[in-house]
Amino acid sequence: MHSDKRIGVVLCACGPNIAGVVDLAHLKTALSGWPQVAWVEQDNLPCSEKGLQKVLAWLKERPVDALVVAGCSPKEREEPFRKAFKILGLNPFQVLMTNLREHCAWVESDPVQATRKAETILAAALARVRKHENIEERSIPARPEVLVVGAGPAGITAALHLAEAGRTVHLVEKTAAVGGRPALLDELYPKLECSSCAVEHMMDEVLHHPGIQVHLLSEVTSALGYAGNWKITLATADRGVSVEQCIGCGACVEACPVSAPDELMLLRSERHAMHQAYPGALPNAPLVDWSLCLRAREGECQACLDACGFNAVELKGSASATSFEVGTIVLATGSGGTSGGARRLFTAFEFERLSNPSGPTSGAITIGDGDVPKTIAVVADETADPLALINASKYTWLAVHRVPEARVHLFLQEFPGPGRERELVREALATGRAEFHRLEKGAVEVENEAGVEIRNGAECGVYDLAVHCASQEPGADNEALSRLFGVKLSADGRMTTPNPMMQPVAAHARGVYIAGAAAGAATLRESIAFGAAAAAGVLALYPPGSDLKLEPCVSVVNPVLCSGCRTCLQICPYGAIARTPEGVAFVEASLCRGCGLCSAGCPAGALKTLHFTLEQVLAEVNGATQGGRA
Amino acid sequence: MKLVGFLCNWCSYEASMGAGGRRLPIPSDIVFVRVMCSGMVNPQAVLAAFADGADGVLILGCHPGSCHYVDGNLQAQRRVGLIRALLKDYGVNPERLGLDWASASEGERFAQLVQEFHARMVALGPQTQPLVLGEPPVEGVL
Repeated sequence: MHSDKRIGVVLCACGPNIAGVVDLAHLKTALSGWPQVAWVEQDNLPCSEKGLQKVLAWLKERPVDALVVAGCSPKEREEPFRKAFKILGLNPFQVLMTNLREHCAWVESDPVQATRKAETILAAALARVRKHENIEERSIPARPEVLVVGAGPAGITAALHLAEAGRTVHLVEKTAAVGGRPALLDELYPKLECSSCAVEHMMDEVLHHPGIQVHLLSEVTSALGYAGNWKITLATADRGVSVEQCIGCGACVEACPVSAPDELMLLRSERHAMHQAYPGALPNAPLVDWSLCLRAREGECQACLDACGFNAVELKGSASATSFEVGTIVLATGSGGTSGGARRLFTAFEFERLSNPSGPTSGAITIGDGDVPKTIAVVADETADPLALINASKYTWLAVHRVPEARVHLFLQEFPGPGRERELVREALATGRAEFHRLEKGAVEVENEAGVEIRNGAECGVYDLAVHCASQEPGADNEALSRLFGVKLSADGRMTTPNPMMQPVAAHARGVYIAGAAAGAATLRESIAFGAAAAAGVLALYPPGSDLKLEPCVSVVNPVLCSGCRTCLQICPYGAIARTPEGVAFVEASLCRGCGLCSAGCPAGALKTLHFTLEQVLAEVNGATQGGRA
Repeated sequence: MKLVGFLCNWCSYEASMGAGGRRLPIPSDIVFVRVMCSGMVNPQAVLAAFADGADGVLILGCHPGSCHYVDGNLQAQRRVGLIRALLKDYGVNPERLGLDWASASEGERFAQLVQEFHARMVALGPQTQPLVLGEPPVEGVL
């Protein structure tokens, strides 16, 4: 088709903008004599409604195989001409728009030079369009179901929005309860309101929404597929209790004869093998810790079975597998970090548990042995994430108000800037029982029997109790999840999005979204906003029942040339290239974005990126340098 | 002087729009070729440009960290190092291949980069011995 392609050329005058500098009459005469140029027409504004009608008329009167429009930016104006081609049943990729305005008339004042350059620009365009190939605009059937991983505020918000929009949602949660971190906190930034009250309604709603199937104690073990079509397999641990039958009376918990220190209670109290995840956890049904359960270890005990009056205890002990299909994925797995047996030196999460009215001390801020601290230090790392400063300000306020006997020392690199953090610190300082210390570089805390020693530059103090607000830890499962879903992790192990500014929740792989603290520090408000944004991303990708449109200009492999060296697999930023069982590269069109990095990097020349093939670029370069008349 | 400028679709092409919009002078002997990403520029296309008689090739991409395709511009940077080595073997001054960055809002920077590249090429003078493709430049290298 290349050699005998008939090409139409439309020259845009753009009012005086192009015609005022470039001699279009000369250009028209010069181009008319070119081989393969069927006709050359000029219009004052071909991109206007009237102009497009004229272009359509020319194309109908004198049919061509390809069209070159010389005007302004193809990014702004190529589309209407492509549509005109489509109307006539022609392939839109046979249209090429080239720039005579910003690349010529507006940057060249000498008419002779400008006209000469315009001819070169058109030579390049004509050489290129001769090599243009028809490209099919494809779409694939895509499933409407959505997988949401993580039932914290981001995941719950995404699930609820999607379910309200009519989507079927599989909400997968690793623990035995929904709600995530905020359900374990007490005073919620910025208003210091009751955290569990704030999130409880959404926890209830998500558990009872008919469009949402909640898979608790579950982890994704396999995810096969790509945008629009995934097969997901879960492993679900045995809870030991039927959530449907259990009324949450706690009789089985009381009957359980074994117990061990409870991490969520900072090891200050114990929990039984049959236990509630934490006070107020939803769903309101206990679960079995199989590492403690006597029956699992010795096969004898059935105290919980006997105690239950509702036949709700079902001790299987083994995990079960579930499989289902979805079209899109939302990862909302939050941050990491657990609590241990802090006595004097607390992490932020441990301090949250300590100060929680349903925590180990009913909210009393005390040292490990139960004594009330006389001095409390709150330290936030200079390099930590924004939540560290938020937490430090909040804990200073809480310490001053909850422990009137204590002096509170806040260590920060800078006094907080305008905002809620500054208000909280100022309110604390106004009581006269708190003081601000500028945190020096390299300050250290050491816990010993007498207290927590803080060496901060020249000053050194010992405090009865200290809270260290560091960056949130990345989620413990991030690496496994990144392998399953092609998510890229940052150097510090957080999930990343390729364009955090403009598409904050879209992952590298199409149809995968990341919401909440999985991608870094997030307040509750941010987690909820990002959860909603992820739901919007899912809904906008394709409406239910309609197909997923594929990027038409993707890379394709010539399997004959491919040596199977895997170079392209490393190069592709989107994980769109895999190897076939025969050992050659294969581009998954639903993931490819058409960047062409693989084509440029393929040592065998086996990859080509449609509409930007080497042949097309070489032709354009040849036209630009040699005039392309050959 | 014949110069070819590869512009990435997202940043440097937009920068060329900004330069044009502000009517900043661009030397008339450079022709721009739009590509989706600076990392898409095939080494063969650069060599072919010199074989076709180009006196200089300039690749302009997004600033590091701003690539529309994650790290395509950094891949371009690594590749340019290799192409320059090849050019040297072919007897072409590697300085004739330029690589730089211009964001979509940097019309002035774009014009300045193109003018400076043009001036450097004028100072080097036309490429007197066109690169001949298909023949190993140095024995044993290819």
